Amino acid sequence: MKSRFIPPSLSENHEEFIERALRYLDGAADETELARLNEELAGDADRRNVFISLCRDAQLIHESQVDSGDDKVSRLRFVKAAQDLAGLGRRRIVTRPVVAIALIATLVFAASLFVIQSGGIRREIPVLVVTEAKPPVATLREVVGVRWHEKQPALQVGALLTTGVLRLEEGLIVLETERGVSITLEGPAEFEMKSAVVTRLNGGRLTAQVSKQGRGFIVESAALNLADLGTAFGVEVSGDQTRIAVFDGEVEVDKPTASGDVARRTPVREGAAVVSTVKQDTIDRVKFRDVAAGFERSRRMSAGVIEIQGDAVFQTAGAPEDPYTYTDSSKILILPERQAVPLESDLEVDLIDSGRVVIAGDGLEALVEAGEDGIHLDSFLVQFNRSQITEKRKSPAKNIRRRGGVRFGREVAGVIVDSTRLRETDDMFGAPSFSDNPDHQERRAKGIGSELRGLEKGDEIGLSKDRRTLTFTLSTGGDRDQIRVLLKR
Amino acid sequence: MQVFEDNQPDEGGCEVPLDQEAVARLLLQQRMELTAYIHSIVRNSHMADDVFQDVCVKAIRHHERFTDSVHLAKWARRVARNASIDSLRRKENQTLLLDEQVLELLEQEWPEEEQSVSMESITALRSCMAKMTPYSREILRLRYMEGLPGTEVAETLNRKVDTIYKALTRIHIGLRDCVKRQLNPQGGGYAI
Repeated sequence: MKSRFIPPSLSENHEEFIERALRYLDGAADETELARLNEELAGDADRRNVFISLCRDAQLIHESQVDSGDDKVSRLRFVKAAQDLAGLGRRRIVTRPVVAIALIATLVFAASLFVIQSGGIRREIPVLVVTEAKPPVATLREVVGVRWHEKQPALQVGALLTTGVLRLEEGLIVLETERGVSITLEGPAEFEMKSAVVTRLNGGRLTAQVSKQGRGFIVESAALNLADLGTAFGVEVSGDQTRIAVFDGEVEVDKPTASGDVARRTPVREGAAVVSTVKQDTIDRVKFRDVAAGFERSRRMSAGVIEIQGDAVFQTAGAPEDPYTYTDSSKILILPERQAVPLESDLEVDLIDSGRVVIAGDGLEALVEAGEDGIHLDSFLVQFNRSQITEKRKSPAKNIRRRGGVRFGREVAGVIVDSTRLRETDDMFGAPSFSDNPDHQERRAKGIGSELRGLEKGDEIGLSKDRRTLTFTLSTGGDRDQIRVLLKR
Repeated sequence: MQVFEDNQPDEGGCEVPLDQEAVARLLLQQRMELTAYIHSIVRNSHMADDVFQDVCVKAIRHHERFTDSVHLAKWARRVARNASIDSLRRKENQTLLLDEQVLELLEQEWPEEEQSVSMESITALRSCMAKMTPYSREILRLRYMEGLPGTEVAETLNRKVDTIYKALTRIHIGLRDCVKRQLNPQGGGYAI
């Protein structure tokens, strides 16, 4: 075992040696000086000790100098934070923001690959992890069935990503930018994060769900550039062709110019799709359904749903947000409602704990705690419609059972299955077009449920131990069954 | 000669291998130490960072080979040394290197982990730097923040190169002395 290293005192006796070492350390020593230094270091343990101390001191001075600015995460703090973390073990740490960033980076370091990129040398294939010199632009949220490119080191969920190129051969990954844009990349793909706002797709398929905060998000490609105006969309680059479909909201597209100037922008609205090639000067409209069909899986993941099981289906691209427009009773429908809803006070829900619950008629009760600083939640609606009334069937069929499940990308904070609670949370968590619909508003104002929406006796729901998978067995009663799922951001 | 292969088998017996997180934490603990060691060979901050990154990537990938921090540190220094030499060889202008025998000795004697780089010692360092003359501080800034070699520091400050190296030498000696006095390290702790 090595003895503990005690840095020596540097005295005037060492002056000549230190000067020589300093010349060597900045590459200024000539061959004669190097030979002398080699001789001194080889034959004198004390000199080696001084040399080591000098190197360590230089490093510490360098770091203390580099990070003295208030706007940077201090490397020294980073080291200290890492030491704290190493000493404490993994746990939730609440501290000053600047240190918190370092701690987050530390955890990410632990979960993935660590790259120091303080400028100067740019890696061919950036591994994309954070340092104070390269702040994070995105977080890797999900990895599903991925085979990474041979030159792309495998990244793990939780990795904080800096600018750089990501390459995958197959599978899907979900990133979330620092500005709240959820990006799903479907391999084979090559994707570059130029910043938290500007990205480039060189090949493959991408969908993005852009929050209010993320408006202005840009995807460049060889044939088309896209600027988001607060929306959800998909981009596919294949060879020299780029296809874009807008699922929600509106985007602007333009042709890249050789000069880099912004060309004339063309608006593309929800339910529309365009295509262009590198050689083409025009941007052509194409059938939305044809383009959107290719994005189903990645669009679902961008919305925060990782996997759908059993009889459950995810809302089709371009379909209405209002759940009352759906009548199909052969499937259980999963609809994304709202993103990043701030919760400033505790919220009563029906279920927060993992486990299986059979609805028995007596009320469930649980509380989603907002905490001192508040939290943000995403909401989804799970809906099972009653069977349709037809000429032959004068009343809805009963006791049709459907089973399904949803695996979410985030932890479930709470589940609401009670009709009254569903109604009470519509304004806050219901899809905007549903919440804003005058008919529904009027119903709520009158204090009546639009109908019996919650689960009924005999329905079952279950939440997995990791609280990310919700399963359900639902039976049709007199009306539709709805479950509102709230996810932690 | 590169004597340590990346795929060299573990010397340990049935000890529990470290998981990725543990390896990452240990690497982060050893970051400054290891970077300083790498810098002593490559003598370029960016290249040192790059080599450190490569070492981290390799270590995390092969985390199951390590059973403790000493084992990891030893491995990391050896891989860092080889990677540093490889990086230098890829750069045409930097061929002057310490002898292999010296590098071997330094590798063996380099501290195994960052010993107590406490906030007190960092504060003491900053305090001592604050007491320096503006001229000395400027030399430190140019040399260690801007990363300029002594020749360019001399040019910037309109001084002779020898003068700069002598000044840097005095600064290092003075800083260490100052920090030691501030910390009064009776317990033998690490003062900068």
